[in-house]
Amino acid sequence: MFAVEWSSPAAYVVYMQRHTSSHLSQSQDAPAAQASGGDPRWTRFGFIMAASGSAIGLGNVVFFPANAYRFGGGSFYLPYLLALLVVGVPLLIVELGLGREHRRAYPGALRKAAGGTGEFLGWWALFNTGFIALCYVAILGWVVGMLVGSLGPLWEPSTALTGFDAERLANPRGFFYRMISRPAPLLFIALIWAANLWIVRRGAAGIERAVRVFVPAMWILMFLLLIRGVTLPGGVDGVWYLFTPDPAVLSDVEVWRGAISQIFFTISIGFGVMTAYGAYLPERGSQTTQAVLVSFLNCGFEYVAGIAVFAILFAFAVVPQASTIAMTFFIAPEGIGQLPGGPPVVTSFGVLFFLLLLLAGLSSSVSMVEALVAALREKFDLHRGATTTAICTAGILGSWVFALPHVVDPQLHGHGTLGMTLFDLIDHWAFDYGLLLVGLSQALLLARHRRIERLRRSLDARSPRKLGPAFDILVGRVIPVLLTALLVWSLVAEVRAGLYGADATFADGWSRLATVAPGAALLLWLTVPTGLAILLTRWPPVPRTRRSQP
Amino acid sequence: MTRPRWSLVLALLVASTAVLHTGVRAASATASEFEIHSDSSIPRVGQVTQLRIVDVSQRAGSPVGLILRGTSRPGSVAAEPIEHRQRVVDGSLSWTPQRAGLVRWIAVDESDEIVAVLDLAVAPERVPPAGLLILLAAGTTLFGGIAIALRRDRHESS
Repeated sequence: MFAVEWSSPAAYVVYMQRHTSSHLSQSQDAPAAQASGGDPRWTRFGFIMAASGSAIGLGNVVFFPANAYRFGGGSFYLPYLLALLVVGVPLLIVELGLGREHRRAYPGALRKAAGGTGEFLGWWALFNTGFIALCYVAILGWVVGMLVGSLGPLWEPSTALTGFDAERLANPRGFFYRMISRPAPLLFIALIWAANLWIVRRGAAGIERAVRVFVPAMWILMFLLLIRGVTLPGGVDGVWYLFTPDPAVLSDVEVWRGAISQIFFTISIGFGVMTAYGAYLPERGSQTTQAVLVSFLNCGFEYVAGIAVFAILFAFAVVPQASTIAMTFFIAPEGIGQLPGGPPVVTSFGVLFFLLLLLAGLSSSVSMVEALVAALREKFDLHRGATTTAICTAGILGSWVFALPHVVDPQLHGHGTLGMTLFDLIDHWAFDYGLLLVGLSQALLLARHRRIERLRRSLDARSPRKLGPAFDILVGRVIPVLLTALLVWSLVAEVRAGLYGADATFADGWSRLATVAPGAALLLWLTVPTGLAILLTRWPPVPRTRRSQP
Repeated sequence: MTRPRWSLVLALLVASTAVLHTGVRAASATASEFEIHSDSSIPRVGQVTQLRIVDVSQRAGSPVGLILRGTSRPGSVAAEPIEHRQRVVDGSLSWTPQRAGLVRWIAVDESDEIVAVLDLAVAPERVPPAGLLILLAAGTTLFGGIAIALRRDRHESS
């Protein structure tokens, strides 16, 4: 359907008028039935909150400051802003546009746009996202544990006896290791999945109700941290450090690679989430503007988070770590623990910080669950409540896989806990390669047979500001070249260093894991999403009945 | 993408906890109790700062012979060793920071074992114009973009 060749511009205009009018009339005739399984649409404000809430997550609060430090502070901002404009915003326009255009979740929308290969890519992306969600919720379970701890024991100055070889570690590290070696995080993980179930089973309306509270609360909490950070002695110097460029660093390819990766990760590209959310968009509105708005809201939050976190870390000379777990559970709390004003201030800001992380994480995990729920409902004509319950139940078990090793046998760790090794391996493949592969494949698929041109013309038809043919070149040519270069660069580094994780070591009796785990993780990541995607793509869709209505 | 391995990071964190948190590490068979102290909690670029190695337990012996090594902006692509590394003769060292940012000082003994660590934040001499420019440019781009997009979206959605 995208391989249409027009004999003249006039023929194209006629085609577009027919296409646009038929699309609109179809949507107006049966809007509920077309909107991804019959769900109601967002309100304008609800969509902005939901999409920016999906994009704003743990990565904004802790990973951006860590990356900004690692890649030279102010020097990171130039590639970061360029990556936002050249890669981030165009791909977000495409993903939102696909959802709005076809009123389908990611696999369904890609099927309509690019046939069976597109649907396969859509399912593959969602199962890759599923792996990410399992890790993500496990981390959120630990965030709840730290939130509870921040009411008191986390800030105790004495060292804590951990379960790991009875090591004595100073808090917050000591508290963290002790906390994850106890069964409580398993309950917290179940609670997070239950919260996802509670929100997602109500559909777009339920998500909208939740994010209307979560997202403004996140902004308020972040501004409170910002004010506290910059009013600390030396805090403003941290801000200057964050923004002062080091020109020598700009010639380092790693900085540019880091910036593109950060943008990809931070605005939820390649997750399939934005297409699912785009399917619930109201009739009126331009996805070009909405994509700019969502990505700038996300990066604006990151900007504020960077200032707040840098101010606190600099004031107490805490060296950031470019690791989500280290930044979340050790480094940032270390800074908070040193705040002047005594235990009430430390406790208040500790609770505030972990509450912020919890809300940010929850609004992101909800979007990942919704993407899969919407796609499965469309394909199999399933009831929303039952689908969400099944996914969240499986999610509990999956996230426990990442948390249980610490609880069952804390002595597994050796020079790297088994649980962290699983996290590490799955994170590496699903995040570092999975998202980029999806972004690249999507761009390549749409570049063929002028599909991107058709999508762009459809987007332009709804927007007073036209993207123009340059957009086709950007998405169809420039972005694939950039992403291919990024992936090749990463693969070359991977090959040179050996299979990722092969150098992990384990305690006595578990050394065999070191030889099996890295290969097994790669195999798991490749085969599970691929196998399920093939199965679901070949499965004929179930005709829609009333079951899929909310 | 860009994140280092969590297991490696955590292993390093666990292994270095004693160093990072107490600033003390065994220098020999007996427990050493050295710490690096700075006369300024936030040194400033261009201002002389005194670093002192202190035996907090009074049992670890003299700090003479220990070597202080500094790294500016550790753990980043802009990391640089501080040239001013020298054998401590009287337990103290004069250091004039040349570059703003975080600095990690370590004291090592003859066998190159770390006996103490100090992280310091070095403040810039004055407000850096380039930093101010990027702060304003990035803020204006992002929040200006949000304001414009919000207005357009409201208009286009109505």
